Amino acid sequence: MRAPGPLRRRWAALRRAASERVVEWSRRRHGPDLGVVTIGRRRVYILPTQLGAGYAALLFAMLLGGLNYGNNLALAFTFVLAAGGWVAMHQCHRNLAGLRLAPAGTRAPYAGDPAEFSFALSSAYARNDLVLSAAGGAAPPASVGAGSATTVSVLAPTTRRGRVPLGRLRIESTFPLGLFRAWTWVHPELECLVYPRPAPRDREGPPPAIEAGSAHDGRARGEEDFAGLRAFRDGDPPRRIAWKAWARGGELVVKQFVGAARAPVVLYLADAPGRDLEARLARLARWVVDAEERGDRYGVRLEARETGPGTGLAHRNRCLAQLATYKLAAGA
Amino acid sequence: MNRVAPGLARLLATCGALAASLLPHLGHLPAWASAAVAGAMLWRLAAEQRGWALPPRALRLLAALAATIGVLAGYRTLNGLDAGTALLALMAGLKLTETRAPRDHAVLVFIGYFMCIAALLYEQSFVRLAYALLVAWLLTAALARVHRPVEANTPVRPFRLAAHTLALGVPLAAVLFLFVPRLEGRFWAVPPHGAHTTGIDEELNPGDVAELSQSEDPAFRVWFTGAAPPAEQLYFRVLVLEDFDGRRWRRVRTAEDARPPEVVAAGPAVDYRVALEPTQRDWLPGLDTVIGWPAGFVARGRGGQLVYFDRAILERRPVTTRITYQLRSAPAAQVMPSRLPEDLRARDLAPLPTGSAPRARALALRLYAQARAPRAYIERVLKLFATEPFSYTLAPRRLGAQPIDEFLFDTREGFCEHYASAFTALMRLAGIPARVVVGYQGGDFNSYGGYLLVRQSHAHAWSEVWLEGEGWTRIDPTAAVAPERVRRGQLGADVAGEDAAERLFADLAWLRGLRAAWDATRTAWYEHIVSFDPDSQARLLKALGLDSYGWQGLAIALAAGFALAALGLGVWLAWELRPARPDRVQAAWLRVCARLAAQGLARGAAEGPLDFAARVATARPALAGPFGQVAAAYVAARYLPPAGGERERFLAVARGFAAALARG
Repeated sequence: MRAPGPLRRRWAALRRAASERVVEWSRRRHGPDLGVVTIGRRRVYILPTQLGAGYAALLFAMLLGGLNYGNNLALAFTFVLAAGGWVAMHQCHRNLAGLRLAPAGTRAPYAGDPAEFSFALSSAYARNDLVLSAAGGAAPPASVGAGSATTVSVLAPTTRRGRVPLGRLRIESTFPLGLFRAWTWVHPELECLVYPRPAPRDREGPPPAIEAGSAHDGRARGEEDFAGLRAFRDGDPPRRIAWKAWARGGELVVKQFVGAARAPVVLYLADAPGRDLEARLARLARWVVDAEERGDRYGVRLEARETGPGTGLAHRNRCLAQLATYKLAAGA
Repeated sequence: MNRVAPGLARLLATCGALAASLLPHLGHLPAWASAAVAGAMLWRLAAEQRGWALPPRALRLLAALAATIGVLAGYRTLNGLDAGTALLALMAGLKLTETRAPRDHAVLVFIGYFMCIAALLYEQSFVRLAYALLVAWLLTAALARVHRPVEANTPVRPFRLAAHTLALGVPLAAVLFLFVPRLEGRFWAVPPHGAHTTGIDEELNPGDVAELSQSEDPAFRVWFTGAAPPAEQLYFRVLVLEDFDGRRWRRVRTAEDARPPEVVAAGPAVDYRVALEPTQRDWLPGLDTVIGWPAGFVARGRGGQLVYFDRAILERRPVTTRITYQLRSAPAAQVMPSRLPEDLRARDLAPLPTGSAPRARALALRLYAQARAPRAYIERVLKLFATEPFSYTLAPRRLGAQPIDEFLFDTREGFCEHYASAFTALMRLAGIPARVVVGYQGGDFNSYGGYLLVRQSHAHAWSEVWLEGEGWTRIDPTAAVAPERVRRGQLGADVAGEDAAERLFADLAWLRGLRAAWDATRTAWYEHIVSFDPDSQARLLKALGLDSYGWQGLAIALAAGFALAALGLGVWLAWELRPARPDRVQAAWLRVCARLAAQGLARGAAEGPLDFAARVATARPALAGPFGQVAAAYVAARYLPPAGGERERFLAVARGFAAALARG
C-alpha cells in the first residue's frame, strides 16, 4: 500500500476536524441524552450517499435526453424514478425519526476485551436496517418490529481496568434503497466497568488462604448437586429461582444445592505478590475467578473495604468491580 | 425448500432485471451482441454457483476493446441511439464479469434504467411505457436487495419495497410531467435512427414490384372539424412524380415549384387536423387541394416551415417524430384553369424516351384520332381499362423491357401504380399534360375516436391531367378497373376474392370493433400523453387560471403541485406508520406496569415480563407471588400457544392485581 501523500493527510485531518465540529455542534444543540432518548425528527440528519449522487446524475442525464428528444415517455419514466428517489428520502428519514433508544445495561469486560453497551431500540412502527456505531466499531444492522423492541450491543475497546466511557453513539440507516443515509448522534453519557484482566493461571501459585483453609472434599463444583426446593427469600439470586415451576402458576421457589456451603475464603490484596499494583490486582482477579469456578464461598478485602463472603456470578462481579475501581487514577 | 445463497440471489435479481431491460432491444441489437450479453449473464451466474474465479483485468480490458471495435464495425460510429444502445448493452455484459460489490450491481441497475429510456426513444407506445415501468420496478428491487443487509431480505421483500417506493412517487411524477417546462427545440442535434421509411416512396416503378406489401400500420389520422367528405373525395396528396424514363416515375424538385397554387372557385372548404406518424421524409399528406393553414401553426418546436410543392406540402426537414398539424382544403377546387405555365407544360408533356412503348404510341394516336378532344380521349382510355380484360391484383407478374406496352397489351393486371403509370403515359403520348400523383386514398373511420385512420395500405397512385378551362383534373384510372378500391377506400385482395374477404370481416365485426377501440385508445394516448407539449401546458395553465402569469405560472403550478404531493406523502406515511393500537391484553399489561412504575418499579425498555417479574420479586418480595401470577398469565396469553381462556384469565388476574396495588 502506498502511504497517503501530505495533501491527502491534510485533507483527511481537515475532514476529521470539520466532522468533530459538526458533532460538537449537534451535542450542544441536543444536550446530553440521559435515560431513554426519543430521536426527534429535527435531529435526524440526511444526505445522499455516493450511490444517491450517482442516481441524481443519471436522472439529470435522462432528463436532458428526454427534453432534447422531446420524448414525453422518456420524461415520464425519468419523473417516476425521480419521485421514487424523493419518496426513498422521506422513507429513509422516517426510518429514524421517532425511534426510542434506551440504555439496556453494559457488560463489563476484562481489560483489553471490548466493553459491551446494550441499547434497547423500540418503536411504534417497523424500522429497518439500523446500524449503531461508536468509536470502537459498528453493530450489525438491526431491525425493529412495530410495537416491539430490539436489543443492540455496541462494543467499545478497552485497554485497562477502570471505567470506559461510551463516546457518542451514531445511529444510521440507508433504508430503503441505499440512495440516502440518515443518521443521528446520541450522547448517552454511559460508562462501563472494566475488570482487571486476570493474571495467567500458571505463573504464581494459588492464594495462600485457599491453600491453607480449603478442604477439598472432591466436590469442586457444588452447584451441580441439586438438593431440593425451598421458598423464595429476599436476597436469593434470581438464577436460582425455579422459573419453570413458577410459570406453571406456582409459588416462587428456589433451587438448593449441596456443596455450596463451604468454609469461606477471604482474598487479600496484600497476599498478591509483587510491587506493581496493577499486576497484583490482576493476580487477585485470577484468584476471584478461580474461586468462583471452584464454587468456593469467598470474599475480597482491599485495605478497609471488603466484599463478601459469598458465591455466584453476581458476587464474583461485585468482587471484580471492587478490584476495577480500587485506587482509580483520576480520569482512568 | 433450500434457500438460495445471498450472493446468487442478488446476482439473479440484477441479471433478471437487466435482461428484462434489454428485451425490447433484441430487435435491433446485432445478434452477436445479444448472444455475448446473454452468455456473460449465464457465465456469471454459473461462476457464482460453482465458485469460479472471475476473469483477470487484462482479459476484461481486451473484451471491452473487442466490443467497441465490434460496434464500430457494425455501425461505423459509436454515436447515435443504435450504436449507443449496443455499446451500453455490451458494457453491461462486461461489467457482469467483474460484479461483486454492491457498487457493481448499482452500475448494472443504472445501465438497466438507461436501457428503458432508450427503448422509449425507439417507440412511444403505451405498452412500451408500461413495460419500462415494470422493468424499473424490477431494477429498483434489485437495488434494494443489494443495498440492504442480507438477513433483511426474503425473496419477495425487495419487490414489495420497490413497488411501495415507486408507487408513492406517482403523484409527484404526475406533477412533474404536467408542469416541468418542455423545450422548444433541442440542446443537441439528434441523429436520425433506424431510418426505415414506410409507405410512399419517392419514385414509382410498377414493373419491378412483384407483390405489394399490405402494411396495416397507421400512416396518419385525421380529425375533421365538420362532417368528413365522402369517401370518393378522400385523396390525400403526398408527392407529384413527373420525370418518366419509360420505366420509372421520379420526383422533380425545382425552387419554382415552391409556390402557392392558383386556386379559383375553391368551393366548400374543409378544416381538419392531421397527426402524422414519423416518416423520415419531408412531405406531409394533405387532402387535395390544400388551400391554407393557420399562421405560425404546425408542429411547434420543430422550427419548420411549410411550403407548397406542386400542391403537395413539404416540411423543411424529415419528420422523425409524430407531429400534428392543421390544414384547410377545398376538395372541389379548380387549379390553374386558365393557363399552364410553360415550365410545367414542358415538364408534364415531356416526350417518352425514343423507342419506348411503340405499341402504346400507336394506341394513343389511334384513340385520339377517334376522340379528337382531350375529354373524349380520356373517356376512351378509361373505357379501354373497363371493357378490355384488365384486372386488379396486388401480385402482378413482373414486366420486362417495355413495361407500358407489356402492361397494356400482355399482362393486363396490376394495381394502382400500373394503371396510373400507363394512363399518364397515354395522356402524354396524346399531348395532354399529365403526371402521376402518389398519396393515400380512403381510410377507416374510427367512431370511438371520431377520426379517420389512414393506414399504409391506403397508399394509392393516381393521375392528374391539365385540361383547358378546367385546370388540373384528377383522374383515377384504377377506379375504372376496380371501383371498389376507390369507393371503399380499401386496398383489397384481387377483386374476385373481395366478396369472400368482406363476408369474413362481417363475421368478425366484433373483431373490427375491438381493433377500432384499440386504435382509438392508442390515438388518445398519442394525442394527450406523447404529444404533450408547451401548447398543452399553456391550455392546462389556462384551465387552472394561471395563464396570466406567463412562465411563472408553470413555476407556481410546479411548486403547488410539489407541496400537495409532499403533503399527500406525509399524510400517507403518517397513516401507514401509525402506532399499532395495543390490544386489550397489551393495554392491561401496560396499565399494570404503569402502576408499578408509579411505585418506583419501572419496567426496562428491553425487559421481558419474566425478567421484570424476577426483578419485582427481588425488590418487593410481598409482590412476588401476585405479580408473578400476573406475569405468567401475560406470557401465557401472549406468547404461548393458545389453549383457550388465557386472555380472559390474564385480564382477570391483572384487574385483581391493579386493584390490590391501588388499595396498597
